[in-house]
Amino acid sequence: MIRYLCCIGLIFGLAGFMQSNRAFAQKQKNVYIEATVPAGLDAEEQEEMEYRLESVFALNLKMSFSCVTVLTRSTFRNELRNDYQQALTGNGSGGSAMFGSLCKYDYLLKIELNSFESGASFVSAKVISRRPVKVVGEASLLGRNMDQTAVAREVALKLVDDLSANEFCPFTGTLFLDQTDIQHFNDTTKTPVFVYDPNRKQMCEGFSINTYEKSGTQKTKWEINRIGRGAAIADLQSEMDELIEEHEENDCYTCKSGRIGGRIWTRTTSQRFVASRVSEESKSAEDQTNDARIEIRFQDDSTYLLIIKATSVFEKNTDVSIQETATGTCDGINTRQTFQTANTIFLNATLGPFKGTSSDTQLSGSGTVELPSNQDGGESELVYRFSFRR
Amino acid sequence: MIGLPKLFGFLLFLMIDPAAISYAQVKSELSNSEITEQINKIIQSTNWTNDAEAKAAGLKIEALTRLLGQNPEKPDTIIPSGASAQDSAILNEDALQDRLFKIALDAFDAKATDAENLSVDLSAPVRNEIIREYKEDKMDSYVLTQADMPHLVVIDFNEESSVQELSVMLQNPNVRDLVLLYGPYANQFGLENLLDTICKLPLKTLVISGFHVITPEEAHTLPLVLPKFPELEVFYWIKNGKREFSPIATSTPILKEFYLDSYPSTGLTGILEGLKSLSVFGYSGMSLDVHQINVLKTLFPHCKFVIN
Repeated sequence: MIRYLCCIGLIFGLAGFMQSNRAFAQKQKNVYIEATVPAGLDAEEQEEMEYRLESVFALNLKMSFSCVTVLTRSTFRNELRNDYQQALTGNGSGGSAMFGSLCKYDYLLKIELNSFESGASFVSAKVISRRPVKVVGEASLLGRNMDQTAVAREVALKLVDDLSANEFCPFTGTLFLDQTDIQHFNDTTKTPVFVYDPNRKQMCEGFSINTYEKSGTQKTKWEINRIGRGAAIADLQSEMDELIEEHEENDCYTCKSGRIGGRIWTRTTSQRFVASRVSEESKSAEDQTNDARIEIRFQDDSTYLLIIKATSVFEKNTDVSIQETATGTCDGINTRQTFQTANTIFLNATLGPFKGTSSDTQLSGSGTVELPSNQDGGESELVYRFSFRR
Repeated sequence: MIGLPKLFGFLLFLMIDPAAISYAQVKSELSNSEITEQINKIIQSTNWTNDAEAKAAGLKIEALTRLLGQNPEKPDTIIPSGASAQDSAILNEDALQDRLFKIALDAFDAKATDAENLSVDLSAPVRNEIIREYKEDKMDSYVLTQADMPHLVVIDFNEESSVQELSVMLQNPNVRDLVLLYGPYANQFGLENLLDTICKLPLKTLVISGFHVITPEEAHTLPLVLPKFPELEVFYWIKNGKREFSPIATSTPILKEFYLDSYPSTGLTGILEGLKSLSVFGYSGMSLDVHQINVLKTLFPHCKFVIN
């Protein structure tokens, strides 16, 4: 199920996943539909044809997308009048708020009909977002021996497909990612040492035995709420504890003084990393997102991938403690240092492919992935679950 | 004193820390067995009774022994130049963990005086990608052609973009229906100026709403003279205070639908007089007595009255 996944984490679990119940309402999208028909028709015929074209597209959009409200040019005046009358009777909000909610549109759907002498009709439709100005869906068809309204119906269906593929009503919902990484690595090397001792005028022969042991547990939990097409808000809890112990026994260690002899050296490094703040460098006044994204990439084989990205704040969040000791030939060492370092964590993963298409109303999945360990003795596991609706 | 696993990670770390390159350059390309063989050769071929020769041999052996300790037993992990994003990320994971350790060691070696500066924001590439994607979401990617221009334009002066939209709208040859909603960004224009500007457009429907805020003192001053809208068929004048009009028949000769609210009832007949095409008149906010309604019905016998 997992084609490719890469997830970075310094992790440790806190008891209890962050189960915040943030709900994000699907933003309603107002679409204003406007048809243009060929010149040459009388005013009544022109109005009739525009009305028919606009109605075909309005119906298809309303039936296919729950997040859409439509206003057509043909019905604009009637809608204004209805709103005014409702305001009079106390059923509407009235005034500027009334007209604002009625008239302000996010998307313009332009329909164009061209007729040819051969009897063929060409219908094109384009949905343009007002801010930013982008074409979010388009379709067209040259119909021969077809009624113009039938051509318009075909184009409307194609337009719905194109809008679906571009997530016109985006899938929103929550993705939970829970990564656990347990590391235990140890390695011992025994190397012969040969050092000429000029004071004794003889070779010092022996071994250097090096032991390296690393153990740690990391847990990271991401809760990422997809609130729009790509846009997301993430929560994070991540903890890591790590201990590295190094030990060397050298039969022929050369001191700074030049003296050569046996020495035992150890260094113990412990680190504790905690991260809980997702960075917010992409946050803006109009979009209360933070540095998180979930892209749903629909593929031709009726599957989709989730491309997930998120980052934590880069801040002083790691406590480091290092203790070093040495005994033997040279002067002894026994030091301890503690300090903080700045670190960060990021998520850059692709999950899938999962079965599903852009026209589904719900996309969901769950699973566990054993991640390849980067060192011997390590175990890494990722548990995910998600549910998105549109 | 670098343990083997650390070296493994350290090599990965090279891709983010150029300072580590000098260290890597001294790493022997000889295998451990080749190094041991060389040491044995030196031991066998050296005249250990000759001080100078013995010292030189000792230094060589010491250097070789150091290399012996540095060579990993496992093959090094090489980062291919064309590594995929997946590879990079997985490698980065290694690097990050060893990065922590490296920072710790560096800080220790530097007596922990500058530990903070040794840190690297490893999330920066991903974060920058996220920021770029959000920026792209908000960027225009299409230039409207004349054919794309809508007939209906709504300008909400509560929005900062309204000023630009007004200027775009004035270049829009298709505009026929216009809705102006008052907001603070309208203050720089003033209602009269706005009307003088938009009257040049071939408007068929005009909605003006909420403009009582803009000039409260004008509410009781001179009546508003509506500029000429020769093609205007539908006019909504809603929530614009009690500002009175001069008769509008000359300004809107073909007006069919006219909707008002909060307008002083005593002046109604005056402003409506001469509207020969009026078929719907909406009025709300101020009560009309039976006499006033009868006067209006007499003046406009074929008009539908929508009155509160």
